[in-house]
Amino acid sequence: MQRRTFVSSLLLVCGSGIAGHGLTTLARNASERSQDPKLFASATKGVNFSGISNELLLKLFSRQLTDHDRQSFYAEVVNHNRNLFIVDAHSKRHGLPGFYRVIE
Amino acid sequence: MFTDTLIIGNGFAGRTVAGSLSADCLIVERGEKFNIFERRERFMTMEKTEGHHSLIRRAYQSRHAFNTPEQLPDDCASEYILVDGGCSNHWGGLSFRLSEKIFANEGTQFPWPFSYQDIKPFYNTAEKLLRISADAKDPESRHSTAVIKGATRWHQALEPYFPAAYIGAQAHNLSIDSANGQGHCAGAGDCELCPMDAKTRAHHITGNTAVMNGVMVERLRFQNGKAVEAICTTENGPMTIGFNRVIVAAHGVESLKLLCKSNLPIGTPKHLMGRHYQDHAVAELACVLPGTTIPFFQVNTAAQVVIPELCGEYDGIEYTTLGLMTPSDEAVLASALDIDKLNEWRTEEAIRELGSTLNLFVLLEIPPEWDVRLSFEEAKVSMDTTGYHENKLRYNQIIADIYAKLEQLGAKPLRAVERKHYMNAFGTHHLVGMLGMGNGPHAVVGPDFKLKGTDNVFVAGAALFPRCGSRNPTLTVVALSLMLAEKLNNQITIRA
Repeated sequence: MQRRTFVSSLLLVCGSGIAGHGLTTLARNASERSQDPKLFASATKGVNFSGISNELLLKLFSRQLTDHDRQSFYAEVVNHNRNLFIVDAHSKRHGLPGFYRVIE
Repeated sequence: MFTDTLIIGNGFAGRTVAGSLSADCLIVERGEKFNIFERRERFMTMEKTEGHHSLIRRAYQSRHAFNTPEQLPDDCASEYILVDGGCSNHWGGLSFRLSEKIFANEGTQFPWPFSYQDIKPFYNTAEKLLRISADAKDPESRHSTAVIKGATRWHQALEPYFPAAYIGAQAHNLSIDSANGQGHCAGAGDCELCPMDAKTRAHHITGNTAVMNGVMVERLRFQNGKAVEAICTTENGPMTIGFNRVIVAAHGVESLKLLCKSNLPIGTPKHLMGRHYQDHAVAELACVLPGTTIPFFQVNTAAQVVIPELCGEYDGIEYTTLGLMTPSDEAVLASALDIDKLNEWRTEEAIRELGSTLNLFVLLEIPPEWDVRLSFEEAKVSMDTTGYHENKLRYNQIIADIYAKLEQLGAKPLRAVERKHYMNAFGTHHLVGMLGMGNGPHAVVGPDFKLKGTDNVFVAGAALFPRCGSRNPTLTVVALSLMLAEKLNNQITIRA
């Protein structure tokens, strides 16, 4: 997902969600910390959020992730960002030659 | 048909004895020769909903109807295969020596009949035969044919927590210069069916011995206390082979079966055959090593890191902890996520930190004293695992000790994702000890490798181990086979 598309969709999601009772509560609870979408986009610029659901994105944005969200965060965010902790991650698939690489 | 020395089984054990023996010999192997490309193709077309490893076993199914491995009980996860080369085909390549402590025989009723120093020269030769590639930090002074590239990265990453950690020796050909017809390891991580054929298999151990494939020895026939012929089943019907001496080097379960079916002499302790079967149990743990970036995949062979700081012995149970060199699975990584950092929008940092999550594989000894029994009665193999279940809770203390050690070293255990497989089942395909050797009252085979009560029946293979400790058995199988060949050669020389 392009950065500007992401930020736009985040604004859209926030805008539509803000009318909801749940988000009102979330917003109140998180009022002491920044909820600036631009700041959020800047802070997370190294992460690829393609595939993340609106629900999870809202939770992340409103700083309301809990232990219950671990699995979905893994599936929706970490999977697309394995390159952050595995060198050359996208070219490696288990069982294919080249699975292991030596780069020293 | 007659031969001086008949060897039953063309796996590592039989092949190694044959390669070093100075007598005329013939190997009979029940499995057929196979083409690894064809086996791989078979594997690729299988329905992948089943487990990866059991599918590998199925890919190696024999075409002979008489080659059906025994079905072991549900609480034993071990399996074996019956094709040419035997279990050397689905062996992972990790090549441990048993620990010196196991040969020291302290506090065990199942002593090895020789010391570590006695077997050490045979280990050295076995490592050459298996074409070991070893880490320079390996404390066992390996005789390696190639270095493991990428090892330095792993040393640097693990040094702050596990300064003694080293990459476990592997039987993979990592050097094109000395290939000798064997393939070159591309690090694919699926050694069992790799068309590169870089991992040493039994058929890479060269020799001039003739091999008859598709010949299953049903039983031995004894006459006046001496084994005189092997009664065989083949694709084309029954067959007998006479011999002066026979070496039973089939898979342990099958060696047990064929001896049980034989009219053994009265001096053979039949009641001890299979009586002290051993295997390994397993726990999978995970931990975070804060501040470390683990160089996953950056090594040129399928390997595991041995972590001496997390190995030891408790209550007569030896355990060995290996760090896996592939990233943890989804459940573990999800558990390792730092939710606080995510809520602080430090998302990239939180994901990067998953690179410090290490999976641990703990191999736990099942001591022979636990009395896990394998028997063959009324044409059926059965296993009594009561002793295992009565004792398995002892492993909990080992896991608690490992956790305590991890915390002491500054690592963070991820207890929520621990997998104590040992609570449900045991078995790592290391089916050993059913024909234990030694001087003690539990031994089935003497220190001279001769089946007790017989003059000309010898045993080779992992079935001999009186105590297997917590390490993979293959290298010891090869070392013991070299030792047996030397003993037989000495006898032949004396007679000449």
